[in-house]
Amino acid sequence: MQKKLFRTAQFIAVSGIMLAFASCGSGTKPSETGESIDLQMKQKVVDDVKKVMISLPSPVETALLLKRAGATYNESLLNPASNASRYNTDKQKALNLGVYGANLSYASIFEQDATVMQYMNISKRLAIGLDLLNAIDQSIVDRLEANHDDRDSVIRIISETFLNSNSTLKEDNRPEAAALILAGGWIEGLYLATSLAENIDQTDIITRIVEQKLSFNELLQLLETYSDNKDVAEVLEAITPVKTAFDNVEIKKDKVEVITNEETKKVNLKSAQKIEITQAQYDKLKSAALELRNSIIQ
Amino acid sequence: MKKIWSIIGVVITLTLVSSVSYGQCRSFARNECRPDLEPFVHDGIFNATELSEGESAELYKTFYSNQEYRIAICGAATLPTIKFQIMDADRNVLFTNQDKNFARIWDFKLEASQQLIISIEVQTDDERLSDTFARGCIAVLIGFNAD
Repeated sequence: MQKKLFRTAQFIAVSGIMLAFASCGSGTKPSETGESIDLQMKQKVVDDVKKVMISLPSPVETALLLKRAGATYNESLLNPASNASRYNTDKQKALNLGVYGANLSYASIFEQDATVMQYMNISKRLAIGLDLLNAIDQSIVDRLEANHDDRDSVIRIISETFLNSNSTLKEDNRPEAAALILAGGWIEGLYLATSLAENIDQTDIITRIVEQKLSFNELLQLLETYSDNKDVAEVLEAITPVKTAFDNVEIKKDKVEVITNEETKKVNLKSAQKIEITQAQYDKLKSAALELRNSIIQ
Repeated sequence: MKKIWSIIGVVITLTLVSSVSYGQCRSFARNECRPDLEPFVHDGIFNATELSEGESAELYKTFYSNQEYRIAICGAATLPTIKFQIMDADRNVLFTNQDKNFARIWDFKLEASQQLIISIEVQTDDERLSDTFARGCIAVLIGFNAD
């Protein structure tokens, strides 16, 4: 009996210590002996390789930039609400939670109240399907309903749901799912943007589309981090035509100069940028984005 | 027998502390750091990591032209001062909070869209080095002007 209890204690001890070390916490370690401090110092040298974080643009920011660039609202571009019931696997749910999040953001920036409510409810259902019970709870839906005519509040509430989803997944040690949601949102953003511009004479919106090449590289970097995961590896494979299309366009920029306005104290990072894209290159990018997006929502 | 229950007790305590800390990192970012972004809108991305004294991390993000941004960086109260630098993709330093009394926020606007690198480093607290190693959560939050 005592032996059995000791084994249980050993098991709990090992599991507990592993859990404690794997957590994201805050605090200080207790005093150490000289030897263990020495060991820690050595470990610190090894750990001196910097931790790297990749941050993709939020769908709300992308939608806002598109609107400022002259994009219009076209409801027919959204992933139909009726598609939501088709998504059964975790991969489909995560990618399409990102897609609906981008649709929700696009609708909110153009103040489409009814669509915002509808897409928030769909997102809630998909989030529950991914065990993200508190990411979009009823209180968020209620707040959205109560503030539907205040665009600023709506944007902040949507932003909060994104924070809830990706922080919960990271803390639940499911960063791959968080990466897939972000990927779905990014891909939908590119699809919406390219669907709203037919030719390269629409300079402002084309500039925003080509600039997505910068964050596309970050998306690749993020997905490559989790390429051991089968779902992520499949997305990396599917995204290749978009990469090829972006490889052909160029963004040139000058050295950055920091200018501070002495009166307002506002800081401006001054540098010129030149974008090079032909109509044929744009058409290729547009069709790659469409094909990729359709493969996700089908 | 007493010893076994002591081990179980220590482990349960450790596990509970760990779980609480998990939640603390997220609630820390939400409650302590996010208000620093006001009146900017948080982009909704949770960038947080756990660092010890002397450790550093980098965040890569594309920022867009003609958009006003605020970067807010906060560390757990148990950590010493956090130094952060903003660099362009060629690693030229554009800003360091060391010149601004280790400010937690930086506002800026860009003329050309580009990737910036946010480098954060937990300073070493010499007074504490001999007996403790501070470790805690650091959040890097980005806000944009939605007007």
